[in-house]
Amino acid sequence: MHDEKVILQVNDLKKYFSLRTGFFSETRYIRAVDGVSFELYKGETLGIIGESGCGKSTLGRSLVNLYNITSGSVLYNDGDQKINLINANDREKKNYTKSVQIIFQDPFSSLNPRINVFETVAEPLIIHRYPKEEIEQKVSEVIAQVGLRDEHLRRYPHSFSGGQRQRIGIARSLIISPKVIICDEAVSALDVSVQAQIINLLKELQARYHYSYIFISHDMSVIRHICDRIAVMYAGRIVEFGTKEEVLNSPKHPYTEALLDAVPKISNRKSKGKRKILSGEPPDLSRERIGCNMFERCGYRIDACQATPMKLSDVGSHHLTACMRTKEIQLNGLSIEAKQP
Amino acid sequence: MQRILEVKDLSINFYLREGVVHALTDVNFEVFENETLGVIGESGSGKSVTVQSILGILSQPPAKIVSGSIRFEPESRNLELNLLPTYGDTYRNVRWNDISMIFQEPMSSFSPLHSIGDQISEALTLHRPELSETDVLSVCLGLLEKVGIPSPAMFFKRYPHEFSGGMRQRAMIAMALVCNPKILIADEPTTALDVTIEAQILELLESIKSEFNMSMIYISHDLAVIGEISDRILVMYLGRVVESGVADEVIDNPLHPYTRALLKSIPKIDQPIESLDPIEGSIPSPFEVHTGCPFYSRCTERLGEICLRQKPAHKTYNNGHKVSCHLHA
Repeated sequence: MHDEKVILQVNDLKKYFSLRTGFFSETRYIRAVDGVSFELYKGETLGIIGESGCGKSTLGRSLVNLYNITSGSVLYNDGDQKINLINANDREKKNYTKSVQIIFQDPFSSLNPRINVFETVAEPLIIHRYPKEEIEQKVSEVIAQVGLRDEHLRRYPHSFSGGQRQRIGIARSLIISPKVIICDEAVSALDVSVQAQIINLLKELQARYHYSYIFISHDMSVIRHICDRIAVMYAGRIVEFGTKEEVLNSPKHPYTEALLDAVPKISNRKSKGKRKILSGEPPDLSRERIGCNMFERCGYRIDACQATPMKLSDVGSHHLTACMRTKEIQLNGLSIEAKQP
Repeated sequence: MQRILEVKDLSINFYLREGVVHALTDVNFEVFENETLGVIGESGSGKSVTVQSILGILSQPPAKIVSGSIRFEPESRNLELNLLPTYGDTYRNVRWNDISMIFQEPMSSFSPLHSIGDQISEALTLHRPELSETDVLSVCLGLLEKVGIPSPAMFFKRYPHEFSGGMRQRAMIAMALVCNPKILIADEPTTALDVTIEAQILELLESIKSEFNMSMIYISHDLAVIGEISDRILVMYLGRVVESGVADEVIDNPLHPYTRALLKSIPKIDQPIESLDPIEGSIPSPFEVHTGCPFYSRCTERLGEICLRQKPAHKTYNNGHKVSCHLHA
């Protein structure tokens, strides 16, 4: 699927938001992303799954420099240029954003209603000072790639449906030929019948132009469909990481198991009481903790979980888990593929 | 099984400055006692308008019930809801006492200015004036406990913003149950929630439904959720019921091309990965008038002229599976 060239290397990335509760009181921090490390290979799709508040969108936005990172490093290396986002100068940052683009979730609020499609899509080129003739040619190329027509160019966002708007958003991200595209819940706001169109479009574009995707979503079915490797995030940290088959068929972290179990399944009709429902809710991110961040909700916890610092460890074939009890417990995955020829 | 609600030939139009929207066209369905009816449809399919018309909370104008009837307990009381004035004691008694509703957005459906307890008990004090204050309190606390809220007494005095989405949705369910309704309408109650919380709420709804002997109308755009929770399924597209039947039938043996296409277009977690077959095009504008089948422009199995020009009739098979498509004439 992908060659073994790392295009984006993220090391111990942290993004804290300060929270001032009162004038004299101590500043507290929301640890939205709390030490995330991974590498993205060229041409692969890495899925980041997690529930709301787990820091997946903060991570995505930090990676395109929309947030200033608190600590850690992001290294971009496409063979021609190496950029370290943390100590990059303005020009390097500009080159970085040219290579790493983002597609947003909400196709309604992410487009400026006052400018037409041409201006929206051409804006990145104008910022990066492309000559005028090239801009027009590129816009009409990219608009065809995403399945829109030239006649759409003079219209304004309000005259498009959700799916078409998302196509415009995709065109805007593609126009400066990025290498890495971060899809932040890119299909979540769309109607189910339109979702598949956009998923297929993203896959086609990847096959043709070898983009690397970081696909952020809360929807396990979508992630399973589109990704090669999956990172499961919980409360600001990656708790499990591995290939799609490994993570889904033999999860090594109780949270992944619960997440897979909770996904509504068509074949599950009227099967009551079979689920292992995860009780409780995600923890308060402003509280500093030593041990496992899922301690309160975990069905497999022992006292030691609360005291042992969380650490991702390899359980074989690059499958990482943050659960310290992983060798002692037996977790259930999907095991669908096994049944099929 | 007895029918508890019957909707017959219901058509609702919205008269707007931009034109007329045919929000519902000849909608027919019934709800039986103790069953869960799942209503599935995309945006603009009219699923919310349907339940709002049952509760009499449509704003009229711009909406207007053009034809049809909504009858509650057609065998015994035979209350024609569409003829009742939406303001007034009779309808007010139907809401909460007979039919109540849980909304999608747990944040915006509570008033931020009143404590959760005040809002839950308000319905009870209004609808059961004979109850004393202590009775009201004990009923409410009991319900809060039943919907899985830890330490209900403390919860009672707090305000909506102090709780997470899942907790608020639980409180909303408790509020809908205070008067022991016969039908609970759930309009996308888990759409705004995370999957693990969604699983909790689905299980809770399932258990209170059997405990309170209620019927439930569950609305969602998520076929998997609908498949899990429903006894029978109603598939809506552009204000029409295109297919209905027992859940197993509709999902394993879908008859309408739209249902078939929908099933093929969603990524499923419990089936082998294959490429998705999207439904081409997008949902037509609500102002468009369709003389024939509303799905015509996107249908891959269309027959031609007849689908474009002529409204498909409803065909009922022996097992109660209904479909409205020219393929099944």
